[in-house]
Amino acid sequence: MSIQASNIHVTLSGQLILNDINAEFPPGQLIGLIGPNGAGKSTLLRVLAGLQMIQKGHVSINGERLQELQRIDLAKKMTYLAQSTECHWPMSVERVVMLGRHPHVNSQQIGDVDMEAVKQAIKDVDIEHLIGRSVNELSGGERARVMLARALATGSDILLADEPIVSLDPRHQIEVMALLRNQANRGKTVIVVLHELHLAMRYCQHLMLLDNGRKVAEGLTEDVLTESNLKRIYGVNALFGNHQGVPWVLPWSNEKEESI
Amino acid sequence: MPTLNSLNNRYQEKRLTIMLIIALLVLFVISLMVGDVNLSIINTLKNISNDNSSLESIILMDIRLPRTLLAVLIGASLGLSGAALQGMVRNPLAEPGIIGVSTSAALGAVIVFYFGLATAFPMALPLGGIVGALLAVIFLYALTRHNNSMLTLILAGVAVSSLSAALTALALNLSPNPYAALEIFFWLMGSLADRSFTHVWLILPTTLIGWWLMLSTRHDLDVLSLGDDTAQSLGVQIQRLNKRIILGVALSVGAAVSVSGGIGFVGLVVPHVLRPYVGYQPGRLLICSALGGAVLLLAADITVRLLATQQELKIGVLTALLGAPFFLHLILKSKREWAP
Repeated sequence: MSIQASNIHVTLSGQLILNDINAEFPPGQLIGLIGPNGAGKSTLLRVLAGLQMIQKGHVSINGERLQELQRIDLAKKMTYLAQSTECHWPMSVERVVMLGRHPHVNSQQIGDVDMEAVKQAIKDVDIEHLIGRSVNELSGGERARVMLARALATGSDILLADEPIVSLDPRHQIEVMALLRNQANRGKTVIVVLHELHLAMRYCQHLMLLDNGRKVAEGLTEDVLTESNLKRIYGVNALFGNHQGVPWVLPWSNEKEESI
Repeated sequence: MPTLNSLNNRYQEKRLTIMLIIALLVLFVISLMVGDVNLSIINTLKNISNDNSSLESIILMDIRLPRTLLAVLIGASLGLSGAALQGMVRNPLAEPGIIGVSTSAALGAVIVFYFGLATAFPMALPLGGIVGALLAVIFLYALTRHNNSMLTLILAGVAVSSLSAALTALALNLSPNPYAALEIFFWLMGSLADRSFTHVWLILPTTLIGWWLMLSTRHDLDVLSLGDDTAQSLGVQIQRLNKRIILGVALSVGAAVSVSGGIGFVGLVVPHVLRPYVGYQPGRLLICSALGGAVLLLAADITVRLLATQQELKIGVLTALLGAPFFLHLILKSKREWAP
């Protein structure tokens, strides 16, 4: 399923957060939303998820406008993974993952399909060893993976994730990015807010670069993560290279001091 | 891969529900037998089938049965409301008594008493309680909407309780008839004594509607644990859920308080004790909490009848005496668990 955003304007307490965003997110791609702090990435993701009031514009899924969809139908098509990993009660890991099946489970009767989806999600995210533990006892990174499993368990065609790797160790950052790319390869539309430019370069196929609520660049990853864009938007000098045919980027210094 | 038995296996929950139902049935029968006159159920039932006017059958049908039914209805309302409110504001300290819903319901009922509306129009009594409760829950919701810290919740409760208590005191103060004031004063302490079937019928409709409203949210409440955004993205209509719980609590607690007076802490203790047995899922907690509330209040009511005090101890006094230390314990415990 593809998502279209047209002419999106968002104002929060008098401040323009998103200014005329137009975009089309096709299926089968891992798409990164990048940009400096306060650029409006998370707000855009919330807009796409139908969680944010918009002053102007609209979002549609396969041509169908979000407002015309019932919440529960939208929930089956699209999963939103929030940045916050809060769980207000000390539920066990598997119960939290099972909450991802909520759009499909009308009564509290859990079927085989639901169990299978939960098992697969737990396996994919590598949290089998956490089964039976309370989510509130886990570390931030472990909890983030539980929430990712919860999102995958829904099994929807669109996955929107707000900084899903921010609290993870390097190994799990790589694993989660590979997992998201894998989901995209299977035909899903995966949109991820990211700060880790090196991982964006390695795993995302498309990027959208936001600055001050405006879209400033969009396209293939290598065309967006350029020396001039990083300097202009992030104010950093970056090193670029190539490892076995795969390009990499490393933000190195800010504009004032060349190096330490 | 470790098994996901805890998901499939509802054995623990079913066992808990069945145990609570059995306890409720046993206490129900005991409650019919115990009091100033000890009745033998079988003899009395025999008497009833033969002759309707024997003293025993009058005690059983007109005094004990309505009192027992009220304990079940009111206890279930308090247990259910506590669990539903806690799920909604995601805070284990939300309870009709602590957050001032009971006090303001009592104020509503006192105003009805004070102006003599209840004699003209019996339904005015539960309605007064419901309006009072509704105002308190809406106020609480408005305050905790963007900040559900324990501090906000408890301060909101203190504010609502103090204001309602002050207005109630004002009504008592201005009362032209000191006996009426005394009567209201004792009523406020909470009791199920000397109630009749009239009271049962009076609160039954709104109580049942309130239960239905709260229970209808039980699937969505679990998801609400993950925060508003996530819950919404999983298909929960948050505004509708909140409205249902607010209205449900107001209808059932308002009606309960208007008949029994203030009975606190049932909605605090019961959900807290039962929560681990339902995997801490707020939605699954609802039915168990309703049953547990009925069991606890019925047991408390039997206890006040058995205690050999010169004047029967008010049930609200008993629940407060037992509940307040429990509340303190919870605050101390939560402080460790939830404090930043």
